[in-house]
Amino acid sequence: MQRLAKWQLLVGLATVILLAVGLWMSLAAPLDFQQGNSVRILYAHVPSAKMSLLIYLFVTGASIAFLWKKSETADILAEAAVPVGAAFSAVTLASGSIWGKPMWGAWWAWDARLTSMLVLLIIYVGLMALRNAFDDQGKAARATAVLAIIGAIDLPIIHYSVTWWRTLHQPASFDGPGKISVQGPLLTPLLVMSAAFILLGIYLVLLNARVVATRRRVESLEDEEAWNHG
Amino acid sequence: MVDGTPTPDYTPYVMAVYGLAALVYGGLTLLGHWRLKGLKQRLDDFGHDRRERSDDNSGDT
Amino acid sequence: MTTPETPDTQETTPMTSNRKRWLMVGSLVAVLGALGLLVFTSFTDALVYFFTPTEIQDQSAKMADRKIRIGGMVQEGSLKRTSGTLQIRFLITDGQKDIPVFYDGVLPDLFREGQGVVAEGVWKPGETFIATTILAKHSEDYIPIEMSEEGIAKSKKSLLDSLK
Repeated sequence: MQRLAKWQLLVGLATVILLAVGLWMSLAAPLDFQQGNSVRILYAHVPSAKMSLLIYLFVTGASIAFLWKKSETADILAEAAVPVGAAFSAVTLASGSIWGKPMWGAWWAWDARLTSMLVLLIIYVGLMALRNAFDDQGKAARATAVLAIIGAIDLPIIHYSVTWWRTLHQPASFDGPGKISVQGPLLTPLLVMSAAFILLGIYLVLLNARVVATRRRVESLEDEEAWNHG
Repeated sequence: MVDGTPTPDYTPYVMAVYGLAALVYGGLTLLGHWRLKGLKQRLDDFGHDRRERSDDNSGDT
Repeated sequence: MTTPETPDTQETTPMTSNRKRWLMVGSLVAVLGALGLLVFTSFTDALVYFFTPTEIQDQSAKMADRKIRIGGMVQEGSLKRTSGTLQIRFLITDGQKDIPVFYDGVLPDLFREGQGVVAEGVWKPGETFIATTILAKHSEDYIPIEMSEEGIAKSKKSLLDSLK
């Protein structure tokens, strides 16, 4: 626990520094030839979107590890990561919406990308609710892990939605090493912000993992107490 | 803009997004620390209770 | 267990277990329902957000007189405004075929000739697509304003490629 706290502090410091640099670069980025300064919304939107997918990938891995190896650590990490992923996907949807209104002319469109991203948020919230729906911690962990693994079907759908179907959302700007459609001075802030958000994700998952682990210890002590006194 | 019309200023939209992101991610961080602090306090309280009890009747678990 | 505690537990337990059962059913229905619907519709055409001008011209009768979306590029030099009104007429093209569009209303900021557009409305075969909503479609290109010339050419190409 103590070592985890130290790591978390280090990651936290690095996150703050990188976020500050990224924010400064984002606000200094040149105007886009079409979107003017609304292109700066991209620097919060794209890294949030990437993180909501990455965190889900992590939750899926942790869920498999839990069911397979019966590792409680994996379950704690899965539980800790879900609300973080939910926050990332909520910000993705909201920031996209705020960009969409002036650019597309609509807050929302039921196209494949937006719809599959909304489904991801529903899955995250559903996983949080399902875990709270059991009195027994072990049952909650197993049910949540199974549902999380089923939900992973949404990941390829989100990723390929802009390729498989015609969408209002633009196609991927990074499509293999040969195709990067974000030009130099607009790209650098995006890379810095992406790195910052990866650290932010790690920080929030570590922090939440400590909360979950501590809460479980308190709960087991309380149960013991109730048992001894009852 | 490309067709000669002046580029509209989208600063309010940009600020709304950055503000929202700061609120959500900052809020999540603060919430985490606040809950951790509360839980650690309860964990400490248990420690005290235990020591007091084991003083009362040593030999009990 | 001591007697004073008993009524307390009897009162709260059914409440919480009811709430928990509701939470369990609710979260399963929401997640599996949303996911199932998404996976199911991904095998249909429902997730295709718009038709191209070629598709509409080729299946004109099938597309007629119902609410559909058409997407493509605003044909350069085709945009005509009626002065004193918000009415516009323009052609949507996918590089092969085009469809004349009529619209009366406010346009999004990104709407312009040579750029992506999605129009929602009704196709009157042989005549015009009467649009009730116009959305601008952005390409995946992000290019600084100093490189506008290059940007216009590039985004045009990306857009037409994506419609093939």
